[in-house]
Amino acid sequence: MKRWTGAGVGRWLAVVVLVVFAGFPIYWMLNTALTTGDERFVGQSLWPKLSRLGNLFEVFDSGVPLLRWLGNSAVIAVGTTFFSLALAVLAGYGLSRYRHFAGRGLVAFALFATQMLPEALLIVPLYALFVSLGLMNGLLGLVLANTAFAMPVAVWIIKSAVDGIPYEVEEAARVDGAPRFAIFAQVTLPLVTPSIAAAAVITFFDGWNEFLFASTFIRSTEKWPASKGLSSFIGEYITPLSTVFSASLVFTVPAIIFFLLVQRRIISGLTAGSVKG
Amino acid sequence: MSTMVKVRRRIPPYLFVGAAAVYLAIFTATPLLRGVWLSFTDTKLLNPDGGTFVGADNYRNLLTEDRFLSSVVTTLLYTTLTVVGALVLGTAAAFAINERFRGRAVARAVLTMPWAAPSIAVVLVYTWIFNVEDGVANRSLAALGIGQQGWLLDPDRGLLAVTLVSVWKVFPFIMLVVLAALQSVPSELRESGRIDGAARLTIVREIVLPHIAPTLRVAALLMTIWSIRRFEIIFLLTGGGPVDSTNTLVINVYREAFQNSELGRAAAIGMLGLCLSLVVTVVYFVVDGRSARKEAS
Amino acid sequence: MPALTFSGLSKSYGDTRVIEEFTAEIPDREFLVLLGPSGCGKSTMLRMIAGLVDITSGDLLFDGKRVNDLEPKERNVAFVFQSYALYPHKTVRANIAFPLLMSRFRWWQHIPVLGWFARRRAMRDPAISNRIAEIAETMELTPYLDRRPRTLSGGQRQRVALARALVREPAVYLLDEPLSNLDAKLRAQMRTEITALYRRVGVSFVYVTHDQVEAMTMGTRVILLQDGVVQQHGTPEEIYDRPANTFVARFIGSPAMNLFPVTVTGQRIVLADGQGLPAVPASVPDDTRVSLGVRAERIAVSRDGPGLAARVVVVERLGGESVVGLRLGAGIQDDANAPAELRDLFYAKVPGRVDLEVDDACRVQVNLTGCSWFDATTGRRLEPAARIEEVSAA
Repeated sequence: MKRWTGAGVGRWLAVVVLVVFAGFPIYWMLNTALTTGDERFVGQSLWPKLSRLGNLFEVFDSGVPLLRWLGNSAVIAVGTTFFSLALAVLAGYGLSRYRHFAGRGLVAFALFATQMLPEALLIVPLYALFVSLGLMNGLLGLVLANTAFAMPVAVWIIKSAVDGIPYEVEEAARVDGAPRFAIFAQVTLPLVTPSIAAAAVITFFDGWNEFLFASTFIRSTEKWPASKGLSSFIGEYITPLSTVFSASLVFTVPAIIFFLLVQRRIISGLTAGSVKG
Repeated sequence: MSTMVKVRRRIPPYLFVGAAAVYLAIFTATPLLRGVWLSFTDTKLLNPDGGTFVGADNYRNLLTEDRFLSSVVTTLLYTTLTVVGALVLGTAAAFAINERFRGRAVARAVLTMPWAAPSIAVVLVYTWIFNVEDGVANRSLAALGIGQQGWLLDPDRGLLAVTLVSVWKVFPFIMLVVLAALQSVPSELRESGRIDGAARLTIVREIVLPHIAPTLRVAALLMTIWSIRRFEIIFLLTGGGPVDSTNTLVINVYREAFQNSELGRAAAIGMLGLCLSLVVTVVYFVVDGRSARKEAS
Repeated sequence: MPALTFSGLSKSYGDTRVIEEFTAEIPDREFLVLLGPSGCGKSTMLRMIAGLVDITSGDLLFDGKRVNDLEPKERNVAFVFQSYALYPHKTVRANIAFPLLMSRFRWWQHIPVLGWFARRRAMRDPAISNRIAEIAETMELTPYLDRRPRTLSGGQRQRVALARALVREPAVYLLDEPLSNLDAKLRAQMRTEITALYRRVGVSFVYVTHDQVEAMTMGTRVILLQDGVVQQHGTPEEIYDRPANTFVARFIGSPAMNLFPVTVTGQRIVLADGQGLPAVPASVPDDTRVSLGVRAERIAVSRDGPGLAARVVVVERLGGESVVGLRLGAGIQDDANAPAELRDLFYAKVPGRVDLEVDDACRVQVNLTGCSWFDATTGRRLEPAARIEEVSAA
């Protein structure tokens, strides 16, 4: 049995405090989703009524068009993922394997620079662009706008993954007579699938969570994604909080699960990729 | 090498990178350039194509307005507080869960959750937590005998609340980055330090910190430029209020464009915000280059 | 089956020259070894032959045909990498089949699903499956065909890499330090296997290594490189017996050739510590400082008797033979202030066992038959070398 050292107790305390700090709001979402209005009025218990866990699913019959919202979010997210990955897989590979070509620095800088572009600044020119392209009030417009911001991140993740694949494997394929694109598709891509999956998760939830474009470019409520739909509850006191937070949970849980699965690769892609260029 | 072969070999990178470059040109670069143009006009939201060129008027006006300057101060304050808060908390969390202990995987998962949670859901739950009458924050304070706080209503509390939520949301990113760096500290280094009889804190200061410093710098840069452009959390929590206390540049852009219909002014504010990010980035690369040179020599 | 012609071949990266102009003619079916210390440019040279790296200037000819601009596949070469570079996500079978599938590749196979079906079909084609079975049999890989490289041992991976090279029946085999990741015993075994393979397939091999033992045992021709400059080109025997300069002399042989700084005066060769050897090569002018190169096996050591006075510093007993490291002169010179040439050890290789111990005083006889002379400043070989028959030092 290990002796309790001062440092050990200190770390244990720190972990408990941090876990409570980080976990409480998520926990509170669940707790509130399981309460009734009266309970909240007299003071919400710290302990959830776990017996009511089944009530979470009543949110689908509560009159809130949650399924439609989630469906729209899913369409946007899938579209964003598809466009982002199609572009990012090619570009990430190209930036990793070709170090000297005219314009490389410019592309690399542009990809990094999108990290500092405020969406709010681009929204007006994009608005004008979408009006002239007839993309207003449609999910395709959101997909295209989201891709502009999600794709660069995916490029960095994939580029840093390809950086980690020894070049010799590609040389071997070249000697074996594989054409350039077959080397990319049959040799290198299969080796970076875990990172492509990570990039897919991050772009998917970029589309899933996005709010600003959705609330500016979408007029009709039946095309709202869940982010916009949920935001309509802020400052509104008609929908019961249990319904609001059941909906929030349904919206949040998939994101948390997928991020936990792939966070390691996202981290290495973001930090290694974004600065080393 | 024959010219034909030379030309043929130069094509592939463009085939790979070209599509993404074109996409960025259409959906990022062109709108950005248009934004630059807008910032020199007096365009209104209701007539987005009818603006006239006004030179640097927007910029000149902005730089003399107290409201704008205080928005800059708010941005700097918010960014500094968020970055410092996230760095301190994230690094502490990383050190806390770096070594093995029972329940570490669970702790790590819980500590990662804020980063993964969608901003909208975060804002919803924090508005409820910060609710003046029934929110758990004030109820807890009441139990301690402290009176009600207008977390999102009191101009003295607004920035604090917004920063708190932001730090909560982003510190896991720092934690994961630092954790990854910590795990790459060669164990021989720590061991040789231990054999040399160095105290725990000395090992951390002399061996571990220098090893993770470059990663921390990158994370701090990303965190800074992300904070300067952060929109959703602030906009949905306070909308820039109470009384402009959380009116950062990006919020300012949105309000100017969609509440005051001043697209030209909005674009000018956005450009100035972008310049701020650029300055930070340039400073980072200068500092980074200098320390890299120091390490090399 | 090509003869290789290098004509003024050179390679630069930006302003850095990694291969200086190199010209040589290698007949067909040679086992050419590119030998040199790490970073000498030998791998770059091999990659130029393969077509993986562009040639900066000069020409490379296969059978008189210029191949500078040809892609690797058009040169009909096979390459075995130091890291083996197996395709980690493919089975051993698919690894070996890959070159065959690629030789049947048509443009429409780029289309994702179509290409996948086409490759599956091709794998069932008896021409391909029989060929794989045959190669797997000769390389003793049959039991592992459906495993992935990760699950194989180093030696087995090496065999897969060779099998993948073998399957296409290329005109030239290019091997880049293929044995350096194996342990000593396996390395010796694979050395024999590769030599046997070379004899069986009867085509040209180009083999890169930093290990002079591999060069001596496997090569029919050796090119020795340093800093991108070819130091010597010849058969292993030529390089061993008549090194072109002191670098080659030191690089080849284990232990390396002994280099004595000497001064030639009158009829004597005077060593650094003043002791002398009674012979002078006709071509070396009087009163010049030269380096005398003598192989370790030409040096005899005895406890007493005639010869130079020396002291034992190291004794390595290898069983069948012994290597004795010596320092000239009778005194024990661990003095850090002593001139470098007195502190340098020289080695004697003696058959059987020696009864000498460290710090023993002893006598050394130097057999000057086949010795080499080098210019003391340039290090270049002095030709014609001494023609001194049967002279032993006294």
